[in-house]
Amino acid sequence: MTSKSYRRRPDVLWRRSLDAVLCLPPGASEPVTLAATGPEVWDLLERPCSVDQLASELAQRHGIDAQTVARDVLPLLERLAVLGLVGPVL
Amino acid sequence: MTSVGDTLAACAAYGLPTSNRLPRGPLPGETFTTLLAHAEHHRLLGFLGAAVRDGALVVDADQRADLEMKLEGWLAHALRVEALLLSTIDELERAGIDHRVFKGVALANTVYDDPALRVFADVDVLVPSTEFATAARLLDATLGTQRALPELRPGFDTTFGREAMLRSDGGLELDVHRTFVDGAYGLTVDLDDLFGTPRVFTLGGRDVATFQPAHQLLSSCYSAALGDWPVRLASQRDVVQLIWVDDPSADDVLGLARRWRSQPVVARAICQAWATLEPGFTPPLVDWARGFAPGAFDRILLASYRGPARGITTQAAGVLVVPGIRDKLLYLHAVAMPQRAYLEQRGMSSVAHWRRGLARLWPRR
Repeated sequence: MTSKSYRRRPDVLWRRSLDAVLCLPPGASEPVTLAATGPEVWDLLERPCSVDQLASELAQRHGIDAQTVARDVLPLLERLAVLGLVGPVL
Repeated sequence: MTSVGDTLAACAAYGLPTSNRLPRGPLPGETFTTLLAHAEHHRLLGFLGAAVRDGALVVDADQRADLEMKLEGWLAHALRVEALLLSTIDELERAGIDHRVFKGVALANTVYDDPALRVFADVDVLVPSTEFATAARLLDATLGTQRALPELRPGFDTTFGREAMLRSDGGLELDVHRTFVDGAYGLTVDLDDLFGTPRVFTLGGRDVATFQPAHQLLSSCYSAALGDWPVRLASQRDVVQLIWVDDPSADDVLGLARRWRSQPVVARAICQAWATLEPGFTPPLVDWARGFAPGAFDRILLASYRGPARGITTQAAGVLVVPGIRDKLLYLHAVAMPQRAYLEQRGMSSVAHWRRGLARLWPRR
């Protein structure tokens, strides 16, 4: 499950503010705001990234256990996929 | 102590090699609130945000939160505008109508490292004169936009007009242009020049066509020299940024300017941008602009774009460059006696239109 890779969808319009990333997927009328660690995750998803890779990178940056991070990252990625912001890389 | 004006100019020049400096310490609350309001008006929130993010301008937590809220609002708006642009391009392409995107969206996505630096309010798309009326009708029909104001007189737009301003259901503005500006300098642009090989940028995974760098610079000079009055600082930054990033050939730029009879416009835009932003580099175009002196005729045309009566003087001065007696009369007729639908939309009668014009030309003291 955690080896599945994701990346940003190229048709998503987005901007970075000071503390957040705003994303507008195709067909949506209102942007989604990614705050807290969302902008970091968005940056990393410029290239295909598995949950394990994301968790490992974020854990290293913030000095936290990778497994703990993975438990938070997976639902975030699934949520981003539902919103049409990221897609799985096959 | 640094004034808000100096800080604004430093924001407008942020990221450039420049002698403009941001203040070192946090600004007092009231000063920062004023700065934020002016930065919003001048479309500089992106630069202000970058300066704060980079630590070049120190702010307290409340000031940062205020800036973040305003910036997020503008960036969310920019995304909605870009989505409208993509829909617009879909419709124009489906109808086989050639087009070039320009101004804010195109500039943000071509000459700035981060498009968030350059916030903008609306979509600006140029179409050929022959397709202008068709394009405006098509977009109204397919995107559900509505034209904000009818043309001055039937047929005026296709020959003399600048743009049709369309509004979406959500209040977004889509400006379908035939040329860059109203009045004389909008009428002397060789519009065919603008539909050559485009510069292409990617937006939402799509290729979008804008002007080549020299044409992009000239169009930005029209905005900076003849657009909003007083000028918005973002327009001046665009002029400097285009020269800094693209470094277009001075021969290309001046060749186009001569053909479009817009040397005074280009010289004014460059001189004013350099005076305000104080870039630490002086390319040949700047030397040329500083040495350029417009003749009496061009001084009249330039003056028509300034002052409280510029809505009238700009249109009136246009007659000076309209070729042929017949077209001059048609032009004057439209400007002096707009059609009823136009006046009704503006809530005026013919008499009120004239009175308003005269009052602006000769304001009571």
